[in-house]
Amino acid sequence: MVAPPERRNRNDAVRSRDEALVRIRRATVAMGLTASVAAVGIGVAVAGASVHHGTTATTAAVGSVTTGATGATGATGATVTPATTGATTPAAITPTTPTPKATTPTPKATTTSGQS
Amino acid sequence: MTVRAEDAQVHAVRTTHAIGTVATVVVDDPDAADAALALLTLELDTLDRACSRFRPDSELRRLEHRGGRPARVSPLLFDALQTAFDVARRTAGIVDPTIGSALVELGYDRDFASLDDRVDHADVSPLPAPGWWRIVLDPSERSVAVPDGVHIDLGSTGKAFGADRSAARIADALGCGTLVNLGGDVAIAGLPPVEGWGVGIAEHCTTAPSDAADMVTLRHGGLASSGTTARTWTRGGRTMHHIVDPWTGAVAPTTWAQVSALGATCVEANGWSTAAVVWGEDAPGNLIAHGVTARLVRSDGHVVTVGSWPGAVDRPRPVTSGEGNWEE
Repeated sequence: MVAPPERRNRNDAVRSRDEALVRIRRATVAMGLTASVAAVGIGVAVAGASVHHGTTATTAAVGSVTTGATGATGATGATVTPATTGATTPAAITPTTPTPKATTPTPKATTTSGQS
Repeated sequence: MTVRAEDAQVHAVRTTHAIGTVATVVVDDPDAADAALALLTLELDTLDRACSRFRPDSELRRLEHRGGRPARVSPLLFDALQTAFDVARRTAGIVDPTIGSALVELGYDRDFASLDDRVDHADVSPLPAPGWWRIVLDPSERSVAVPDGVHIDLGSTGKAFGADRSAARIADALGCGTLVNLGGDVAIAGLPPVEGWGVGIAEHCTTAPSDAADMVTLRHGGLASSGTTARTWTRGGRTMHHIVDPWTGAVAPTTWAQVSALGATCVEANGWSTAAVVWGEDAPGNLIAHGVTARLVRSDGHVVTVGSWPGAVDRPRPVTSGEGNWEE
């Protein structure tokens, strides 16, 4: 006869679950901060590109970046709204001169490879 | 380099039937087209006389009846055998020219045109190939010794060898860019057109290029297609095809309906496309390991590409399309 598995002490189970939640919160906050730093970086880069192309920069917020999850224990994620960077979104960039495309004509097939 | 569409060159195409298949030559000088066809016809006739498994008077057949004694052979046959052995070596024996007896046992014992509608109820006992390493080639004497019982079939590498050789000879003789297509095995020689040679990919090499399922552009090297849905016949109640696993002597699995591969030469391309069919499920991995660019069509129509083959991977075949006229 096989002995029944030992049940874990309820207090131990609750403690380990709490520790796991703390780890999740820390990781989520770190992800949110990383995302906000990346968003600001993209904004700066786009602003630079806009100036380079001589377009009119439309001042706009890059947007809010929300990461993390809201669980039963409360809000665990970080909601980060970067400050206005004075950047344009990529979609707002319009080059003054369209880039000409160098194209090689696709050859018309003159024969077919297949089974015989 | 920017090339305007109107700069694209005019090509001339000529087609004939030889060595049991459709033979096409395309040249970039329309004035040279008839001469190119004449050269191709001559080349293929010479190849047939030297290497045919079905002609009793071919040099190859006479060589097999010498009881293992070495015989000096023509440069053409020696080159064809050396090429077949090189492919066998590079594919670890998966594409082996000693499958002649295996093919005969499976029922492919005559020119395919005579076999087409044949239904044979005989039992099949697959015969593993004896192995290409049993044949002795002596380059210094240009001699070959074929042991008793070893039956050579150059059906796999022979067409590709003929395509490479014919394309080179025509380009040299006529000084024009040349493409030769022997039953789907494509070789190019001479200066290619600026836009490259466009080659359609279809289940059958007789499909019009405009109806092909896919297209590649060749600027050098060769392209070959091998498959399990053409050259089929029935024996012992089973559908047979012409690609044999030399280790078992049985027909290769039908995992792939067709494999098209690129290579530095048409022979190399054909070696990989044939090996891929025999490899079955292992084909994509093995092709990638060998750095081969290829397009594989599963028996259910799914397309898998490896290497730098243009286009997406795993493109499903539309259910509304017909055989040999796939739409991407």
